[in-house]
Amino acid sequence: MRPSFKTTREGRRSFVAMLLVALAALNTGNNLIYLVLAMMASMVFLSLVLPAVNLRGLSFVLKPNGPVFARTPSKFRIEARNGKRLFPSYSIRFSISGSEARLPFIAAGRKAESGIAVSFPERGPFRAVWAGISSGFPFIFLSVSKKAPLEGEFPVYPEILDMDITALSHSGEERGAPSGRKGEEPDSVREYRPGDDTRRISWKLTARHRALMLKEPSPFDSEEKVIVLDGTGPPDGPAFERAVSIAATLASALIRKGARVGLVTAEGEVPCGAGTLHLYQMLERLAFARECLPWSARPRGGAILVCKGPRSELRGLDFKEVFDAERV
Amino acid sequence: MPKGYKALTGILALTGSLALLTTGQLNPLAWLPLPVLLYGYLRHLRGGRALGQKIIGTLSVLTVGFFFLDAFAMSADVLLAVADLTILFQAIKGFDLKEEWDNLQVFFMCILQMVIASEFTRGIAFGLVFLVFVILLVSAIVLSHFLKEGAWGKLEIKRPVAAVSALAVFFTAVFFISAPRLAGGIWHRKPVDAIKTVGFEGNVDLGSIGRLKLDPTIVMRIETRIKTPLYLRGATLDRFDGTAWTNPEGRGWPISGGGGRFVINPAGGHAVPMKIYLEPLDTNVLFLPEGAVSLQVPAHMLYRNSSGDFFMPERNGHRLVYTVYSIPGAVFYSDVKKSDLQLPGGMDRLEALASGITNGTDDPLVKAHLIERYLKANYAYSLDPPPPPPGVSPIEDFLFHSKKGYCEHYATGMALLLRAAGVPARIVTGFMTTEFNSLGNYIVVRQKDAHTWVEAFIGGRWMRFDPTPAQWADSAQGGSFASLLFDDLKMKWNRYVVSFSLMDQKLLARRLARLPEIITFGALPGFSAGRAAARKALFAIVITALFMGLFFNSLKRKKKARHGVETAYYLKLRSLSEKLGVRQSPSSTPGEFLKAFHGTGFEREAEEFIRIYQEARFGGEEIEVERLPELYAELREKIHVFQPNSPVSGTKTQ
Repeated sequence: MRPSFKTTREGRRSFVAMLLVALAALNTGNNLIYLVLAMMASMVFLSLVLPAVNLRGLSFVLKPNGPVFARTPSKFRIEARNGKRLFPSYSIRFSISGSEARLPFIAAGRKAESGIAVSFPERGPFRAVWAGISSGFPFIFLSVSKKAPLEGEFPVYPEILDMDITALSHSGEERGAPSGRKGEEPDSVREYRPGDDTRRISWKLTARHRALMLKEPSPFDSEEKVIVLDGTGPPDGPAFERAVSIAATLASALIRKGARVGLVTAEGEVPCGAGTLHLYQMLERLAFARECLPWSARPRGGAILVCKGPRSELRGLDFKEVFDAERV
Repeated sequence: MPKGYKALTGILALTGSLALLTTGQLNPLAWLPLPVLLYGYLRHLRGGRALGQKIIGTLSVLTVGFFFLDAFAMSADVLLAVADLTILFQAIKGFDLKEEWDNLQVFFMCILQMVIASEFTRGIAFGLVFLVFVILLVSAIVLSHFLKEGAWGKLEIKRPVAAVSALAVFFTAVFFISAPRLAGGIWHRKPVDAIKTVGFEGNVDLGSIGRLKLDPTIVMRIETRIKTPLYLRGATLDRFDGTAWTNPEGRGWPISGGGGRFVINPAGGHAVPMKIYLEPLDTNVLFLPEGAVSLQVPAHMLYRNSSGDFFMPERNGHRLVYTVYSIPGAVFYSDVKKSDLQLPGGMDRLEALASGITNGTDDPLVKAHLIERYLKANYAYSLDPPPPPPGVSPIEDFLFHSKKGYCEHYATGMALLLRAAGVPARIVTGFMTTEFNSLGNYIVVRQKDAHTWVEAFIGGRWMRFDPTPAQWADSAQGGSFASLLFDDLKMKWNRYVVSFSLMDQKLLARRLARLPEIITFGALPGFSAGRAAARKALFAIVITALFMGLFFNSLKRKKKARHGVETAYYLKLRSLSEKLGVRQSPSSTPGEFLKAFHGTGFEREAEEFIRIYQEARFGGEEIEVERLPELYAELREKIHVFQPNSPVSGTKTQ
């Protein structure tokens, strides 16, 4: 990969100054001005050569610190290796997907680490090939950029949306726009009304609210929920991505609420299960889900359908809940 | 901002200003801002805050006003005024350092100061200051880089700073040598004050050279193989009026030379080159050794007179480097003029004295030797002869009364005695070399080496006689090791930096072109022609192989760049597979190529390789490209250990 050069403000001014000194040297024929010119030329030359040497032989490994979700800043460790036997590398800027990290020093033949927060725009498998690296070392006149080999393979899970899923208990109702309510409290809490079963009063919440608060029985308790991701119908990439994110959000929320959740996509089925590991199994399946595949499985009625829009082929089936990506 | 960086900025501002002030060309008042400058940067170093914009603005306006006053009234020289302005700028900037760009302004101003200083001086002191300046400036800019990157204090930065500074010094030398030179500038100011001399032009009063005899100022250095003392002819004087010598002919007539080469005396024989580095003198006479036959000088035209004196067209106050080719002991026949027998009035006693010394001999050569010997034996050398009594000419006083004097008196006395004896004679002013720098292997000529001697016309040519006793030059030999070393440094500075020219570049290029010959010992004595030829051939093979290697490597890189990594490795695999007997026609597809692997034992690797290749090449997928080199390496390793007699080898495909 050939390096590209970009001059800085200081660099541009230095070049102008060098041109003026060159004119003075030619005009006077004074060897001592040639000496000053030679000094400036040597600095320009080193500005061109040293950054290229500095960036040579570097390779990088991108290691996620945790699960990586699309459109969400995730923390990574960058492991940089300097393949040069003699020369260390200084002031390396590493950039990927618009994020930048700095590696001030990588000793010759050694490794160095740094952290970076990266937000990937799309879900799916991430296999890095190249990363952008740049350096202005040793001066401040030029910045040299090039691509360096990058290793790193991990799934980028779908984006987890900020949406309300409490009304899932209302069976058969099509979901519209999210309520927008947010907070630490579960949505299944409401104020006590005369006639309610007093055994369901939450004393903790009552103490916090200074009013009798009732904990509604979770609609997911002791229930199995199956999320069906429907990619059928006319191709609509953005709507499908939205549907995938809704499915991931639902799976995540339901698992957190303690439900046993299963997932059906065109590629196959993840049987019902609970817990974090199971959640990541479903998220991985969603990360790789593709649109417009013919169905090989027959989704059961009573499951939760997440579809792209009204022209979904599975809309006619008997689903307990329907999440339409166009409306949610 | 770190203290080290602040200190470096201050030192640079001081270095740039001192580079100007130490040239000695600036008004002494220019030293006044120096304490302010020192205080400003020290204050900044101790954490003092920048002064308010109003104060800085007012000071700046006053400085600009002062600049105009300086340029048109005080110095009356724009360049000097700019030099003063830069010192004032550096002093004010010490109180206005707020952000990184302010420090960079100080650095840029230092560069300007160095450029201006280089117009004021050519001395070695500039070279030393410049070396310090390069190291400081490069260090400061590298530090500013680390500062900008936020790495200051987190890294060990001494090593990179030192390495980059050393590289900058090295490449400064490389660029200085290789930057194309014009033969001369279009405009430049007179760089330094010329060294005052007397006795080399026009009207020379008797006794004027005595003033130079105590002055140790170096006037020239000479690189030559000749180690014996040299007489360097300057001006020839043939008319004496009793108190002063003149040459009515003056500078003579102009002569032109092709490419700066001038013929002095057409003669055959082995000429010895002599390179003369003449300091800026207030005379434009060229000093030439005896036996000079030709001259290479940076001028298109010279002046010469019938006495064989050469003059530059103008005094330009610059150092002059020229090469003279001479044949030691060469004899050049010439003519004599009437004036060479001229005697001033009132010298009646001369003839009697001359007759007494020559004792009736008719041989002019014998006469000359007798007079020379008489003067050496009967007169005392003194740089402080008593002044002649009123009404008595200095030469009469020297010859008949005081009998004390120095080279001018001796030479004048002999010339007049020769003339009185009927032998045409004249005096020559110039230098006699007495000092040799054994460290630098060159001759040093000082003002005190100025000398006068006699030329007598005998046998159709001018012969040199020196009646001055030899003791005058005895004290002039050598010097301390330190002084020799310092002078050698100055010589090298002048030779290789100040006077570095297009001619030197051509010479260097010619030497570089001969490098292969030197490397193969072809140019060294003791190597037979056969051995030298063999070594040359070997050298040619090595160089050709090296260039071919570089050429093919570059082709390979271009191929990779053109087709991509995947195609390059696919083609490599195709050639590698031939070791397995997997032969393919150039038109076979990757699928066919893969099929040909059946039965080789490497099907799995080949399949993966071809799959990735096809995805990358035709599917636009780059995600697994880096796996290709790994797979290729695996396959190559396995194929290398592959035994041709193993069962697999029998299943070669078509």
